[in-house]
Parts: sequence; structure tokens; C-alpha cells
Amino acid sequence: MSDTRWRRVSPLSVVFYLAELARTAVRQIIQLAVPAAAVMAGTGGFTVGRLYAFGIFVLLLAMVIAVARYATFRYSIGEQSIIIQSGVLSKNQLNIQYDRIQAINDSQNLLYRLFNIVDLQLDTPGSNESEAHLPAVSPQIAASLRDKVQTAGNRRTQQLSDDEPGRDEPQAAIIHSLGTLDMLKIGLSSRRVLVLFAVIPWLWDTVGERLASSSTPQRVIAGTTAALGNVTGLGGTGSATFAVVIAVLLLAALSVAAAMLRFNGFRLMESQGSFTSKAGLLTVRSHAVATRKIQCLTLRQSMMLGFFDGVRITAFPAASHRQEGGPFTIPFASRQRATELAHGLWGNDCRNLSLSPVVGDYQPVDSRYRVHLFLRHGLAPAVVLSSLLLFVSDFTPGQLMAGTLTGCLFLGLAAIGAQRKHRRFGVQVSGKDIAVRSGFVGWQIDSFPARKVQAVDIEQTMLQRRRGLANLRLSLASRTIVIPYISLTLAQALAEKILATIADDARHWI
Amino acid sequence: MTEHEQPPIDNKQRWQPLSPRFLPRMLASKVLFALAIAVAAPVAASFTGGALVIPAWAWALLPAYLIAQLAVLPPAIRRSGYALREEDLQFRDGLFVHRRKAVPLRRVQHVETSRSPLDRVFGLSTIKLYTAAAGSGNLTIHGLDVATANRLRHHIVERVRGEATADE
Repeated sequence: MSDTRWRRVSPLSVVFYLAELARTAVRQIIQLAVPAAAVMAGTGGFTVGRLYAFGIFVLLLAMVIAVARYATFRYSIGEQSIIIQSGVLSKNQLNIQYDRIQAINDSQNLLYRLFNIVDLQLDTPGSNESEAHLPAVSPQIAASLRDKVQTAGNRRTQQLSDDEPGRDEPQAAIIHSLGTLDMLKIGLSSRRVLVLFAVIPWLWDTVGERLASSSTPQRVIAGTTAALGNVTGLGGTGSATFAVVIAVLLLAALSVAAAMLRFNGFRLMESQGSFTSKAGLLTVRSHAVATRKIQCLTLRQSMMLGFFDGVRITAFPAASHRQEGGPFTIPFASRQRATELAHGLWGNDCRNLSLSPVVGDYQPVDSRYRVHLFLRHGLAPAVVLSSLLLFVSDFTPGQLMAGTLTGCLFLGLAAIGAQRKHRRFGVQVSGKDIAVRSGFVGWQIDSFPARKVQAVDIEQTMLQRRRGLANLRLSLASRTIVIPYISLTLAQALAEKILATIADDARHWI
Repeated sequence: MTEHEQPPIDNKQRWQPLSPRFLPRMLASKVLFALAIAVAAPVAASFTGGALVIPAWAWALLPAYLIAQLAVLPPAIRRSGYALREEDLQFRDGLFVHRRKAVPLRRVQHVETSRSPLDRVFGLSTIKLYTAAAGSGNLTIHGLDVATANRLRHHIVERVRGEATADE
């Protein structure tokens, strides 16, 4: 017998509600500021006393709302579902069946850790944000809910007889963990650092120019770089280099710190067909996903990750792209380990797919795809931008020459980019599973079983019709995969194969 | 014909046309849109106190727009059609970009039929199939006869209910 009485969340949830109100206020700052300013102006103008009084009024109002939300929030954990009642003015009641829950994510900030409570999000498909949210509950409640969701999943799995035997080990085993060195790799592989490398030339120019000029606003910078020069014993250019290097190192350190905050002590555990990750330096987040609920799995190696021979794995349950917890992520694994982990995450699905970018029968798409890419991302923007520039301003012949050279360089790079993207793109169909490889500098493999597809689209532009080509768009519950520029015959055959798989496969997609 | 009658299931995928009343309905909506612009533009201009003057040539855009719609809509609607098969509902449309969408009935989350005021005037209905892939995964078919839309909805709802019962 389960305890189905109505429960309240911890009184500390008031802090959560206050933070949520503050976030909403920041988001709506303009809409709130205008009426507030109108009221202030209409009742005698701004004075410090009035501003204080207004601030205290807003704070008290927020406190009242937060306490009222806590007082009206109740939940009941039943055998089949969880019922949540909330709302101060309008009453809402949510009844969520456990087998609809995609993932249970909990997080603990410092305050919550102090009082040993967790913030719990229940992800369900088809909702724009986390449908069910328990802002402050005990870890025992979280564990009990996990058990119920797991049991509901196993019950369905058993009914449908679609799971492999021997996946009922009671204890969660740690199958992957990351250390401090991995945090360094994750931090340095972040896109933030990539942007940083892109702005180094600009930083160099700026610092150099500011050293050369000594007008009033630049005195501080010039003074700082001069002081750096004194400290390091380097001249003007040397201290500029030093300043740029310091900036780069500082931002790289910030990126590594961000990686540590999010992924410190990362552990991946497997138990009874579900995977749980736990990580975080200050706020420890636990993210769980059941194998059968994964809709699409992505392996991605960016340029920097490639440098460390690392791969990032992302598993997308239904609607995960729209939910706060986001997809299930393993931030770093070696290429071989990543392939093993990905097959583990898929369980019985996608067994025969090669999840390596170099191994496997990837069929290329038509060569006109690169022409399309070049026209769309190269020629079209170049023509539009140059037409606009010529329309709005007169240029000297020298500027025109420089602009033309820049345009040619851009078009050349666009052509190389289009060529690379076309060469990387490939489709692998193995039995009832599909993998799509793409990429520009690095690579990405999206894999999914055909039975998880929700809708199939074939579209043909006028040019594609003349060449007998088509784009195949496969809508999954987590994202949409487009296979461009394949022959219409292949697109139709793939579409029919996917529809037939869905018709024949009795297993539920979720 | 009632909504409980079985809609024609055709596994050979012969496309069923949309209602013949869909073309006049679409043309009516375009005319109403042009009329709304013709009324709203001078009213909006009058609020600017003469700062905004609508040039005479701009008025020629409205008949040009209507003529373009008259040229494009008939072939576009002729090309549109749906095919209900045993396991899926397919829909094709598009004049310049040809599109064909298939939604497996097993993946339908819920079905909605709706009728705008103009649809009611012309006796038409719109059916929308929602899947878990929100947005690109949903299928909307405009311009169906009310009876056809209701039969389709009934058939799909029964099918979804059957799947749910089988799952339990």
C-alpha cells in the first residue's frame, strides 16, 4: 500500500518562489517599470523615501505571493500517478501517470544542500516546459518517485516483452566518471574558448591601437599596459602581447571553471535499464533517463574535442529540447568509450549501427547539395550585403578593391565549407535503425530507430524536381532530422520503410 | 452520411481532392484581406496627421495581389489532397515546393477539427493531427467538407483509442 495522503513541499520552497518571482520581474522589467514610473510620477514624483517605500511594498507583495503559493501547493503520490494541486487565485490540478514521465531531474543548490532537500523536475512529452515541478522535497520523496516511474516503465516493458533479460540488477553501477583533467578538456573545448580564439586578432589590434594613441579614455589602458611592460620587462608590443595572453588565459580559466561548476565529479550510473548522471560543484544535479524513452542520440566531436580525442554524447528524450532539464548529456568520453556508452544507452535498439564517423556504410547525398549550401550560405548573403553597402554609401576605388577581395575570400571559404559539409554528410540505414552523419570542422552523428519517428515529410523544390531529388524530413519527439538532396526514389523508399516499421512494431515509441 | 461511417481507406494512395468549395473560400479570404488593407491603410495614414501619404501606385498593389492569388490558388488547391491508408494519413500540397507529409496513425496524440467563420459560411472544416513531435510533426488539412473531416476525426480517434487499449 502506498501513502497517498496529500503532502506539502518544504517551507524553504518560499525561497524558490521568491527567486522565480525575481526572475519574472527581471524578464518583465520594461513592462513593470513603465506603470511603476507612471504611478510614482502621478503621486508626487521620485524621492528616495518613496523609492524605499516602493521597494518594501514590492518585497512584501512578493513574500505574500510566495507564501500563498507554498500554502496552496500540495501533491499526492499514488500507485499509478502523481497529483499536484497548485494556484492561489485559479486552482490547477495535474494528474501525471508515471509511465508518461520521461525523466526525473533533481538539483540541490547550497541552501538546499544545507537542509538536505532537492528541487525536482518531472519531464513529460508534449509540454513546453517542465510540466510537474516540486520545488523543495526530501531526497526520499525523489527516490520514491524514481522507483514508481521505474516500476511503471518495467511493467509496460514486461507487457510488451520488448526488453532484454538480465537488465534487472538492483544496484546502480558507475559505468563512467570524469576527473579534474577532463574538466580542463571540457572547459577548453567549450565554444566560448573558440569564440575567444576568433577575437584574438581583434584584441591584438585594439590593444595596439590604444597604445599608439594616448587620448583621455585610453589612458587607463595605456597606463595598465605600460605598467605590465614595467613588470614583465617587455616593450610596448611585448606588453600588448602579454595583455592579450592574460585575457585569453583568464577567459579560458573562466570556461574551465564553468565546466567544473556544472560537471565536477561527474558519474554515470546504470540500473534496471535507466541511466543516471550526477555532477556539479556547488549545485549537484542528478539527471535520470530510461533507455526506452530516448528518442535520438547524438555523438558530437567539435574541433577542440577532436584535439583531445573526446566525444560529447547527448541523449534526447521526448520534448527534452523544450524542457528546463534539457537533454541527457555525457560531456566527455574517448571516441571508443563513447561508442560503447552510446550502444549502452540505446539498449536493444541501434545495435547494428556503426556510431563511428569513419566506420559504417554512410551513403553520400547528391553533389548538388554543396551547390545549394554555397548559394545559400555564400553567394546569397554576399550579394545581399554588397548590394546594401553599395546602395547606402559611396566608396573610393581603393575601398571597392578591398571589398571585392574580401568578398572573393569569403566566397572561397564558403565554397570550401560547402564542399566539406557535403563530404561529411552521410546516411546509414541498418535494419530498422538510421544514423545521419554531418559536420563542418568536427563531426556529429544522430542515431535513432525508425520506430521512434513521429511524422515523415518529403519536399521538393522546383530545381530538385528537375533533377529527381528530394529532402526527407523526419520528425522525432525530440528534434527533427533532415536528409537533404537524396534521390526521390530513395526518399520514398525510406519513408515507406519507416512507415512500415511503425506499423509492424508493436512496441510503444515512448 | 454520418461521422460513424468508415472513411475511404485506400492503400494504393489515390489522392482524395479537397472540397470544391475550398477555392471560393480561399478567394473570399484574400478579397477580405485586400479590403481590410484598403480600409485600414487610409485610416492609419490619417492618424499620422498627413506625415504618411499613400502614393497612388500603392493602390495598384491590391488588384495585383488578387490577380496573383487568382493565378496561383486554383492549381495549388488542385494539387493538394489527402490519402487515408490503413496505417497512416498522408497529405500533399505546394505549388512551387511540393510537400508530402505522412503521419502514422499510431503516433497521433490527439485530433482537432476547427471551423473559422469563413469555413462555416462555405461549409468547410479543418482537421489537425497532433503528434509528440510538436510543430513539424503535426499535420493540418484545410478545406475538407464538414462530414469528411468528422469521419476522418472519428476514424482516427477510434484508432488511437484502440492502440491505447491494446497497450493496456
